[in-house]
Amino acid sequence: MRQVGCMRTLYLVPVRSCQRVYWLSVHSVLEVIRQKFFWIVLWMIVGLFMSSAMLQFVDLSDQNVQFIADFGVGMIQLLGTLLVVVLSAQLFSSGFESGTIWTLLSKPMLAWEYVVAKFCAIQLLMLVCLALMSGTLAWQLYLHAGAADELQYLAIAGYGLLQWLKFSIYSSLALMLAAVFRQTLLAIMLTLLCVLISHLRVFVWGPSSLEFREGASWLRTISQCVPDNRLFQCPTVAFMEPGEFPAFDDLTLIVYALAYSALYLSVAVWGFKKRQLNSIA
Amino acid sequence: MSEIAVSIDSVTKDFSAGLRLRKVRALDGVTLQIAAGQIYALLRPNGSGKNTLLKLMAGLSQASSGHIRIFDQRAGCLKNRARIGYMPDQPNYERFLSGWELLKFYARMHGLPAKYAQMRIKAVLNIVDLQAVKHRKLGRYSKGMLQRLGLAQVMIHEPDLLLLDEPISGMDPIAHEAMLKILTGLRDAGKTIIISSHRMDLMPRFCDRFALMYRGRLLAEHFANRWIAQADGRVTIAGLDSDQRAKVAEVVAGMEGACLVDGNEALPDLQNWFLQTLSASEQL
Repeated sequence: MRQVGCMRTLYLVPVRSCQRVYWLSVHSVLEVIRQKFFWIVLWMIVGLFMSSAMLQFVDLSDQNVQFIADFGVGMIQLLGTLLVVVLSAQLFSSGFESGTIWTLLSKPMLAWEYVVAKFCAIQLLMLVCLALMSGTLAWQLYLHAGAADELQYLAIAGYGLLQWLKFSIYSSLALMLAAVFRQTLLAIMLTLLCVLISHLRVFVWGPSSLEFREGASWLRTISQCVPDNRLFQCPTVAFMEPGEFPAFDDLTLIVYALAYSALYLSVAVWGFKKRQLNSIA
Repeated sequence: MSEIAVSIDSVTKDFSAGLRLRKVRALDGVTLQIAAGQIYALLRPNGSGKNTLLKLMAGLSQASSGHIRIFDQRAGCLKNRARIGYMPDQPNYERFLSGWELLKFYARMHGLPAKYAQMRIKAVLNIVDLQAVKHRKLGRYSKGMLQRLGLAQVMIHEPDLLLLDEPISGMDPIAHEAMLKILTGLRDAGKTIIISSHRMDLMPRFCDRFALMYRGRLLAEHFANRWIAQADGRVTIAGLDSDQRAKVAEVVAGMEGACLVDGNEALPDLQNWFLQTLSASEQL
């Protein structure tokens, strides 16, 4: 450590931002995993995936494995989306609602560090959740089909990562809306609305959009505010050959997700500063 | 002349409230200078703006107009925050953490190295007498314990300026005494302490100076146990020995329009002073 004037100053050598982000992220992760609610939701998700084992009592002939794969992929998307949106909005606003934020903000910390730390904590938690969901899906498929040639277990792991990338956008979107609108419930509702819009982008970008003619150009411009959800869809993942899987081939998808996340996080930082400075004492 | 710890110059703070974004003025042209190494109290009825003033000093918010300088630097800059310890009025701390974990987190946020942080945590826990419950979750702490933990988190990085919002609320008399002893000890160690409180009975015992705030304005300042300066120019002295009285008389003689009123030797009745000043302000 470099030598400075007195002992007190020696220990107050400014820590780097990444260290503060690290400690804030650890703090946020602890905040989530020490809540009973989180564990209840997690066990419910695992329970839901395990429930597909019930299929052994139902005879769908050759469709059993296909059904489990479709069900699992759909559940990962649905539950993952709900989890990431609620978690992000809740985690961002909890400090303001409980009043713990004021002590934290009086520490030497920058607004962007707070927002990025929350984002990192959510991404870490989602990675664990997605690993759990993908793992349970793969396990269920293995129980029913064994090491069948047509099943691609590695592709399921890849699909988990692809969804993780998509959830990074949703997470930053929810953080942005929570920072700007200051109401947890409103932020959750608006984020889910944006997710819905991102699913509907096909109407202005697909072949049928030609019907819009004059209106199509500005609708297309507005639709750029939300990511294209179709890029992250891959319903037949369990049966894909390794070469067919989109995420590994297309690096632009990662850049695409990072660009949207960075944009949303920038607005979140702006909203956070504004919210902090305008909070009535 | 002693160093100026806090310099507040014509500070105004406006908020937008409600659906129509109606403008609410929380602070109205407050000007104040607080010397280093003393305990300064902001007395107030509720909603008088002292909470906002403390948040501005801590850099949690920005003034609509005017300037606040802490140790001759802009309030809110990172360098300044390292020299400040802020304790909010409500002891809201992360209930999922234990006392030890909370202090460790704040120590790391201040950049204290692990070993030194551990040493400091032990020291402050001893000072606030929470060593026995350090591993208990904060959700199971009483309000008094949370207040003491709040003081511990303020002291963890040895700040030069402590901003304490209602530090003794919710405490029993024994805890009061312990808290006041800690604060006077910190003052004797050269720290500047700014407290907001509505406890008139306790202020004269350990504060060096206090100010009355009402509706966002600073109405009057009071030098505890020394003399009272009033808006009409009368300066009442009380509780001083003959040397101190002579010095005050000398100062007052040099003040234009001021006259010295020799009060009794007893401590001034703060409660009455508070109410009279408020009443005079209402009539204006």
